Amino acid sequence: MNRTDVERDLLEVFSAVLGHPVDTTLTRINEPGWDSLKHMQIIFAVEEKFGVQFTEEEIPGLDSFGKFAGQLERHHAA
Amino acid sequence: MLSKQPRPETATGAAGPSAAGDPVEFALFRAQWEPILFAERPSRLELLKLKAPWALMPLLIRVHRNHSFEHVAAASALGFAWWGCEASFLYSDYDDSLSFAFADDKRVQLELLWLDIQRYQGRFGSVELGSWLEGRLTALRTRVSTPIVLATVGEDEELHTRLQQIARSVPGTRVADLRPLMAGLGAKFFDERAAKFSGTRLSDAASVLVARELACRWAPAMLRPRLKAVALDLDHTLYAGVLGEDGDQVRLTPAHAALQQFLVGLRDQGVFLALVSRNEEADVRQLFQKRPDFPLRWEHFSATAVSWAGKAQGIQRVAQTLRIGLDAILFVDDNPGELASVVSELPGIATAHAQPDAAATQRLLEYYPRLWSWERTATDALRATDLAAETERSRLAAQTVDPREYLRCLQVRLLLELNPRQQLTRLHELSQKTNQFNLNLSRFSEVDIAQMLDAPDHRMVLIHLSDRLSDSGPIGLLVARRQGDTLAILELAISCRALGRGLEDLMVAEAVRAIQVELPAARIEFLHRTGPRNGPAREWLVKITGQTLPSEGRVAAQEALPRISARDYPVTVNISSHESN
Repeated sequence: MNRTDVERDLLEVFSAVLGHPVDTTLTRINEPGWDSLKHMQIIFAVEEKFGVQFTEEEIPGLDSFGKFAGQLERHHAA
Repeated sequence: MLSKQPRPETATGAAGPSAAGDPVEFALFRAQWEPILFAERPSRLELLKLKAPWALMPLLIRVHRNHSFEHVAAASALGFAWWGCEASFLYSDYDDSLSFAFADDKRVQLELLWLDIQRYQGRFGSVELGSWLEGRLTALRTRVSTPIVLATVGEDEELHTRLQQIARSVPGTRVADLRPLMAGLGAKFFDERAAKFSGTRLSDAASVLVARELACRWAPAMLRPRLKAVALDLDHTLYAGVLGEDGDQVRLTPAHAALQQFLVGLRDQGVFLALVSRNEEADVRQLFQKRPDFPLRWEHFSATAVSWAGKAQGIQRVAQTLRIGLDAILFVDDNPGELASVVSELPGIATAHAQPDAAATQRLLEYYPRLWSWERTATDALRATDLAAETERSRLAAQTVDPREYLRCLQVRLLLELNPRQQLTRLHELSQKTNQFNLNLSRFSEVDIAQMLDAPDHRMVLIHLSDRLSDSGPIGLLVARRQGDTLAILELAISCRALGRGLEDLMVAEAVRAIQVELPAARIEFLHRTGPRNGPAREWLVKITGQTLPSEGRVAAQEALPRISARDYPVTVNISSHESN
């Protein structure tokens, strides 16, 4: 899975969970709906979509679309 | 006076939102959603992607909690949309003490207590916790009359049993059982990462399953009357194959056998089964005779419509036979074309698309909104047998010219129970589910009924009917309140199963007479209201009083009722008074 595929699927996940279209510049700071509870729902949905499981250490730092994409690339490369 | 909570109604009444647009389109939409919503393990992402294209009625749920519920709520939208609602939630703080510090809000239709019992460990033993929760539930009940669902995670067997007992003593309260979900998911029910970051131990999988329980079982069972019948297609629904091609060699897969067994269980819970099939009736009867491995027998169907006519026509015949409304029927068929055709002719009907995998069909029925029930009552078990006896009653009626002789042959017995507190569930059911012989359509909640049972100026009579052919069980409800010198009949509801024996006059007169022993009054007035289907009750009132009725109001009957006496009927009448207020 290359970066483009990851980003395409990730956009689908974020849009579904947040309930509106998003783009790759999305960050937790600039998205009012991305609170701590929604954060865990995003984690759940991303894990389901990509078949991965994030560690407790990874979860707090995943605060932007880009960081999710990067982390997923690393998971898939591992 | 008792406060009435607003009752959510969909655009077409109980069955769904279909009148808000094209009912065929919506039935087909729902058929497409079935594999997602009723999957063994539904996917949060797939659930979130789907949006209902039809108008939804708002439903406000207040959540009193000690751990977070938002993950569940977010996954529940599709399940609510399935039966026509858009749920929104009011949340308490995370409050182990259940202080119920909320502002009154008349829009709230359901209270949910969402508790992780682990948070009380070390502070309470099971017994003490049970007693404390009983106190908190009672305190909540004094604040609100809306239905309450208590959903707990992590309780032991002893506490769960205790909570079930407590719920029976607090009207309008039910205890959800999450233990089957916990057993199914095992260690995956919890996710400690979620506990750390979002205030609940529940995993994503558990949250999604609880969401389905709430949206498809708990809420509809609390807020809407239960479906009364499941009308089933035959080929590719109850077995694999086509009777017309495979004859009695159609395949009963293990999953189809389990589905049939599940349907037998539904019948035992008081849901009528009906067969609606395009086949020769003789062939279908022969199939059931030749396949003793079928858990379902021909006799299990309380109504059958097997012919080459359209299925909508067959379902209408089923409704007439069962004496129920079309909106109380769920039609199950593997052919989307048949579903579309039926819905186009009968827009209020509920539909389910049977899957090639019968296990999926079974799961769909297990979770189908308004089919699941919190409990099984003694009356449920009587229903199908009682209807079956109706054929013999009709034969007897046709042979007997004199109505008195007919009743004498039947050996009819009436039992009138005055203020039967232990029958709260059945009293509530009669008020909610009776449509045709329901004079004032009051639709009392369990809380309303409990309050009236306690009120010194109210009396309630539960009417039981039996004859030599069957025990019909508790089939009638009369609610009265004395105001000055007037006894106002606030509600009169008689189940359709009990009609047709010419006993309505006697039931009502004897019930009112029994009440007047305790609450004498010079005037008797019936409150009445016109509804979509209560013509039979209104016609009865016109007949008994000789007066024409406005669309709603009160009508005096103190002259008519005393003329009706048990002496004129060859019927045994017994009265049981549980107490005097």
